[in-house]
Amino acid sequence: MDDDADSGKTRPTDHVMDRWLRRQLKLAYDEVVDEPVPEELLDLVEEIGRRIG
Amino acid sequence: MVLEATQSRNVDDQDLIACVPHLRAFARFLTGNRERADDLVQDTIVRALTAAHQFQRGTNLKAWMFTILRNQHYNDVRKARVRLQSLDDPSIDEPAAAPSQEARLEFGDFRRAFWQLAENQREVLILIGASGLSYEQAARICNCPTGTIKSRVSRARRELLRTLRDGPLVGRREEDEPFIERLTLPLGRIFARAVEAAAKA
Repeated sequence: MDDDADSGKTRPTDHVMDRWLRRQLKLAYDEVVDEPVPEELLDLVEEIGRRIG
Repeated sequence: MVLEATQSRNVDDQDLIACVPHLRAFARFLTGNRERADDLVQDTIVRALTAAHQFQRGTNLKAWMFTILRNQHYNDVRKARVRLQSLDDPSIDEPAAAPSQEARLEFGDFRRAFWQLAENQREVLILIGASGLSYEQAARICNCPTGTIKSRVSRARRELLRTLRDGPLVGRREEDEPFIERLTLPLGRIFARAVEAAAKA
């Protein structure tokens, strides 16, 4: 995420922005990833897995 | 959907279960809605397991699942089965806990700016910036050239910065020095501050 497709150049502030952006994105993403998965979704995987064999 | 018991199983249940949290995260950022996201994940699991014979062992299962989920999402949108939610929809979760008030405020600003991005910009930021996929994998998922993904990421970064600096978020916070000003400080000033802090210590 640290290359600028339009200009082909990076500036020092781009790196600061990228680090900050990655941190915020990861925080938001991991917040969902770390949630407990609903049992019904896990049950669904097992049920379909059994039916497919 | 008919499940064919005779098809070969190239997808292991445990590998698939390990993908579920990531599918939920990607779906949440595509739909902006917890319930809709989990419905989408459910549809994706059914489709993936019934098409498991098409998955090539040794390739990236998460990327394959993301492709199915994304296709399903856009099919749903096209069929108008779902109505995309507005920025202020209360079901878009607020952050649970952050280490400090400052971090929480920054995170809140980020989320508001993020949800003002175009959908295709949000998805590439999540794919590249959060889920750990490469530009090439994201390009395959989005069915477009790698250069298009890079351009979208670049535009999304600029748009986020513009929104945080000039957009409607300005004025929501009352700190003496908004974080975005610190973010865009020239590197020389950052070093000068660090040297000053070290001298005081």
